Amino acid sequence: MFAVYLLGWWYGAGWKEQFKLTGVRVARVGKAFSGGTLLRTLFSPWKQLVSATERDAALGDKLRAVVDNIVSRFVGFMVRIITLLAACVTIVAVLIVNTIIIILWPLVPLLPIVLTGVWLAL
Amino acid sequence: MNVSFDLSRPRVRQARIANTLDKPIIKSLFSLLAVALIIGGFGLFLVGYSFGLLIAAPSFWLAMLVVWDEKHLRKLPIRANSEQPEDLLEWRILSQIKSAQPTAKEIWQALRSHNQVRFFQLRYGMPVDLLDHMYSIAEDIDMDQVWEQALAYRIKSGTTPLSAGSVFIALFKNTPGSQELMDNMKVSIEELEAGVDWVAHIKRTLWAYNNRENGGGIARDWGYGYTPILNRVAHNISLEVQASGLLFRDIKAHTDLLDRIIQVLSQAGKSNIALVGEPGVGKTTTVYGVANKLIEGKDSALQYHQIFELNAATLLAQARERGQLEELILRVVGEAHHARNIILFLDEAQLFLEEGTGSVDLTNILLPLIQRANVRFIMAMTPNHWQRLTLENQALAGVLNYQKVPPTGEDDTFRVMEDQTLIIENKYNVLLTYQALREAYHLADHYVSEQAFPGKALKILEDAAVAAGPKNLVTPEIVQQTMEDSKGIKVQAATADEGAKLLNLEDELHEQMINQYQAVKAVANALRRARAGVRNKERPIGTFLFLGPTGVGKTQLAKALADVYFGGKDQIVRLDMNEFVQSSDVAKLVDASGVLMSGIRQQPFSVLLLDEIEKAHPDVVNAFLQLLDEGRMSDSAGRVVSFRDAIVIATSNAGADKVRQHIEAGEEVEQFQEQFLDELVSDNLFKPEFLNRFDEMAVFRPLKEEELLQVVTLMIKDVNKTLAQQKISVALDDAAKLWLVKRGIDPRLGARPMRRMVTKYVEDIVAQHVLGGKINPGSTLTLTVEDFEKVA
Repeated sequence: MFAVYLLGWWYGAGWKEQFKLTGVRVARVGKAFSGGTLLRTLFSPWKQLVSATERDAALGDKLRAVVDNIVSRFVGFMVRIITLLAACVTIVAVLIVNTIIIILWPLVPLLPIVLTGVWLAL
Repeated sequence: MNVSFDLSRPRVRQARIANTLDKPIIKSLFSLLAVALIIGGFGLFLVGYSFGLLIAAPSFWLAMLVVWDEKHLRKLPIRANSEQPEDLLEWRILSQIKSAQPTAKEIWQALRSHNQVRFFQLRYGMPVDLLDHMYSIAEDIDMDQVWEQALAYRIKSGTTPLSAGSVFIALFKNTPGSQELMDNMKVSIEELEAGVDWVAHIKRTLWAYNNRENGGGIARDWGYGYTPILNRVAHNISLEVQASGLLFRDIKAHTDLLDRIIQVLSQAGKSNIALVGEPGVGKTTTVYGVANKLIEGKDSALQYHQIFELNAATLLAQARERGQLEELILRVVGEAHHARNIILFLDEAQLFLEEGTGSVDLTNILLPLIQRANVRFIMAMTPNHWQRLTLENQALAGVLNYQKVPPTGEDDTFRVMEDQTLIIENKYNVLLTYQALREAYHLADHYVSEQAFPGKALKILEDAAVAAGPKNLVTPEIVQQTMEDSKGIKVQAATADEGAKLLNLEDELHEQMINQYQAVKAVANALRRARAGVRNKERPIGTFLFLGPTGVGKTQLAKALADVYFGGKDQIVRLDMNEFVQSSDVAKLVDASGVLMSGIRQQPFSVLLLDEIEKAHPDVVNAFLQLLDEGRMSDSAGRVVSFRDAIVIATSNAGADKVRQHIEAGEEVEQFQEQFLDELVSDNLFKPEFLNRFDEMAVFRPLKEEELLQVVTLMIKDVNKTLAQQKISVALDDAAKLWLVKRGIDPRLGARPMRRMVTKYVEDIVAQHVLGGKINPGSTLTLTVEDFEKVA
């Protein structure tokens, strides 16, 4: 009876939970890397490091401010895009690991029998 | 409902397996064995021993068992739509049920060592040993009703499985003798039922704390600016909340207020808030609640905004000169504006808006900044300060969105106290009983008027936690003691010594005054009622009007009472009513820093003596009506001052001549008192509504010659108390006392001339002896009539 309960859960709710956990883990990685924020602010200046000029400022000052802002946005974009790439790599890794777990999960109860069979064959 | 357990059901069996595995040694053993077998087995295989595979093989089944236990058995699912306890019961209890229709004794055995039952044992003082005995003999408990009630508690407390707490309280409620036990524990069944909700809430809170999200992730603040100055001079509330979590009770009043605040902060334009509430209502905690909500990132407009608290003292310390302070404020606000995710919080905002010690008026700087809507502000202040702001600086008040923070009601206060109990216990390493919480609430309600709920109850609890003592248990008695120490009042039940003192109060009072048995008895009775807990707590302990000629002991009784019962002659707040003869003196009476209001606020447990009340202006007398009736009065600052722990004694010489005439006609006080009081009303000396508000009116009669002799004896006793420091004493023979009385007697002035006689004839002679070196320490100077005649 004990084994029936264990195997019933293993091939039922337990296996199903592994699918659910994959989604949870991917979401967690997305949150840890601030995925949504990164996408929303991809082209925003880095840490609000922007130059502002008065309406009647000299053209040179205005140009310098524009260049400053472009540089800040570029730095921000680069840092964010690299972070997003790192997030993507991590998510792919999580997906691979979880897929392996999902595939191996139903085989685990059989492993002792397989190992015994291998030993006998050897 | 007919409850029967099918013990062959998978859920029951799995609960038993979970129970078997629920031993740390078994779990550790299984885990270690699995690891050892897998490493050892494959190790052997790799070095050439093929039987290693055979050793490694069972490790997978062991690992499966550990995973199953962890992921499934520990959280044994319920069938939520079922109404059968076996489908809903928490696995720890279910695993111990051995029969299809378990008895009360069996259920108690399953419950008794459960954490939730321990909760009731510790918090409510539930005596487990006694319950063991009760359930060993209990036979006629309707178990169907127990299960029905337990299921009802489950739904009410919102718990998912049927908890041990629900079953325990349902079982207890239906146990014969439980009412007597509750009476002993001084709790009601409703309070125990509330405990079921409490323990369920603690469980949910701990889960929420352990599973709180680390809001935002690594890139959360990359789009917002740096805040080096703010980090230096302000306190980041959001960071604190994020690091340590927040216990913010989700009561409706709180969540509604949070929603309103966030809505205002989110809107364009007038998005600044004045958070207005009495001290203790939780204005600062509300701001912490807002910070918590923003850090959760659920509100899109203010997602991940941070709240920084500015402290006036820190800012003043940072800027030593006036110009520097203004510059610093501009830089702080500029930085907050530039960062784009900062909300500035000014706690006790008046410190930034008014000039004074520790405060500075920055309205001229803040107003344009707020008007430009560059940065969002939250300002917390009391209603008085808000009122002053609206009167004195309408422009600033106009750009703030008024949000009232109301005090919590009784139920909500208990919910907040329950939450804060966890924090207080953790901070002071104590355990607070439920009865202590209830006592703190009632004492705060009764005695603390300068703060509001829930803050005032929490303050008492925290003070009690500090004073908990070596047992680390905060009981109602400790809460009472803390209150007595801090307020100088008596709230604990009378001890045996005090009881004896109260029963003999008349004798003690008569050691300091002569005769006037009616008045002394009335006062003593009032105190006995108060300390026995049978008085009306919505009024002063007692209110008395003492009438009669001067020098008969009216004021002396008030002083004696203060000395004997209230702990010293200084426990008296005395108002000479001849200083309140104008109608405008009402303002002086209710002045927050005046003798009456500040005196009673400082020592609420005292005698309030209104001397010569007949001399006060009628408006002043009217002002006392509420005090006499309800035991409270509002001072000039609008704060309610409680007189409910004071004895109010008003004295009056009105109609003294009539009293003398009656006595000289040979009448006793009892014979003419009623007529005399009627005459006071008909002569317009007092209004009936004023007289009717006194618990007792006592007419003091003039003292006779033999009573004046006793007065002299008391006065000599007083003189000897003073001389005791010099180790000398003075004695008078009977003839000498009689001589003083005969010389000093004046029917109009009563005992008053006796004081002058004792000063002139006794104290002066003693002084001459002391200065002349005629008396040595340890000796007694006996004075006779001859000694007095030499001086006379």
